[in-house]
Amino acid sequence: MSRYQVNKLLRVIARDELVRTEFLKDPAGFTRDADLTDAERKALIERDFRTLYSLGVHSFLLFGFVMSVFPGDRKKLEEDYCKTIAPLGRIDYST
Amino acid sequence: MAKIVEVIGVTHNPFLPREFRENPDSEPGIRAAYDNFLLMRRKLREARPDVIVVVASDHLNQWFMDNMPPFLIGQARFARGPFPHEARVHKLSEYRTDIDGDLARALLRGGLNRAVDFSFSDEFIIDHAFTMPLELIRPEMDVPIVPVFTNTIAPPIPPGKRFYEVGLAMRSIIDDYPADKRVGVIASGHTSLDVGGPKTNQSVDPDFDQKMMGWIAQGNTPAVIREATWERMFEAGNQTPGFSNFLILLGLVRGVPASYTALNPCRFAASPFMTWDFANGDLK
Repeated sequence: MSRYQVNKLLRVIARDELVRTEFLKDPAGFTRDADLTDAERKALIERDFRTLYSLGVHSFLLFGFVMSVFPGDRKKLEEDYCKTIAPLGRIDYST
Repeated sequence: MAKIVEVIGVTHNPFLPREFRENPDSEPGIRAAYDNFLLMRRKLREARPDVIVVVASDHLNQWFMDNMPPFLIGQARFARGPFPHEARVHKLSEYRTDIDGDLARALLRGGLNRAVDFSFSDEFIIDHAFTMPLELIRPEMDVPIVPVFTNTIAPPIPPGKRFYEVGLAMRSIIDDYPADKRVGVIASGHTSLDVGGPKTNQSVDPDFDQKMMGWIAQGNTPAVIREATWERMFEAGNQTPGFSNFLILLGLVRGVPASYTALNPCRFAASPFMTWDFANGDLK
C-alpha cells in the first residue's frame, strides 16, 4: 500500500513551509520520485482532496494538508472540504 | 510511599487558549470551559504535587506510521513543546519543564512486570495534547512531569479495555513506588470529534458524549469500557478515540465515580472535564 507514502507527503507539506513552497511551485516535479500509484500522484498534484480521501489517506493529515495549500477564507475552505467528502462517509485509513 | 493526590481529565482543543485570551465571552461554552480550566488549576495547586504524570496522544507530530508505539514513557531529562507549526497556527505558548526520570523509569520497569510493555524514548517533543492542558493548568512550569504517550490516531489502536488495564498497572506501580512523592495526573483527550472527517471541528455525536460523561460521573466503568471500541468511537468521529485516555484515568482510580465532571458545548467540539480529588491518598 502506498497510502503510507501519501500520508508522509501530506504531513511534511502541511508542517514545513519550505517544503510546501516547493510543492506548490512544481507539484509534478515534487512527486516525481515518490513511490505512489498513478491515481495518488495525479490527485496529489491536482490537490484533489476528494480523491485522496476516497483512496484512504489519513483524514487528519489530509485536512492539515488542505488547510495549508489552499489560499482564502479558512472557514469557507473547511465547509467546502466537509461538503465534498461527506458523501463518501467514513473510510478506513489503516496502513 | 508515593501517593496520588489529584487526577484530572480535560480537553486539549488547541483553539481554546487563544479564544480564552482574545474572546472568552464569545459564547457561554467558551467561558464555562475557561472557568473549568481555572478550577483544574486550583485543584492541582491545592493538591501540591511533586510530579505530574501527563497522559496524552501525539497527533502524528512526534510519532508516525514508520514506528508507532501504542503506549510510550518519555524518560528524557526535560520535556518541551509544542511543535513550531502548532504554535504558529494556534498561537500556543511554549512549555518546558523537567522530567522526573526516576518515576518514568519506575513506570517503564514496573509495567514490564505487570504485563504492560511500554515503549520508551529519550528524545522527543511533546505536542499540544500535552502542552495545551499544562499551559492552562500549570502555567508556572515548575513541577516535573512524566509524559505518557498513547496512540489514539493511527489504527489499529488498543480497545478501551486495554487503556483501563494500563491505568490499573500505573496505579499499582505508583502505590508501590518507595519515594515519598505526591503524584498528580492529567490526561487529555476529547469526546466525539472529527478533524478531517465530514463533521470537522464539531461534536459529531452528542449522545455518545452525554452517555460517556454520565457513566464516568456514576462510576459505571464497565459501560464506558464496553462503549469505547475503535468501531464505535470512529463512527463518532475520526478523533473520538482520543477519549480512550480517560480510560487510563478510570484504571488509575480503579473505576470509582468522578468527584467532578462537566461537558461544555461550544462551536468547536464540546470540552470535557473530570476530576478525582484525593486527600492523603484516599478519595475525598
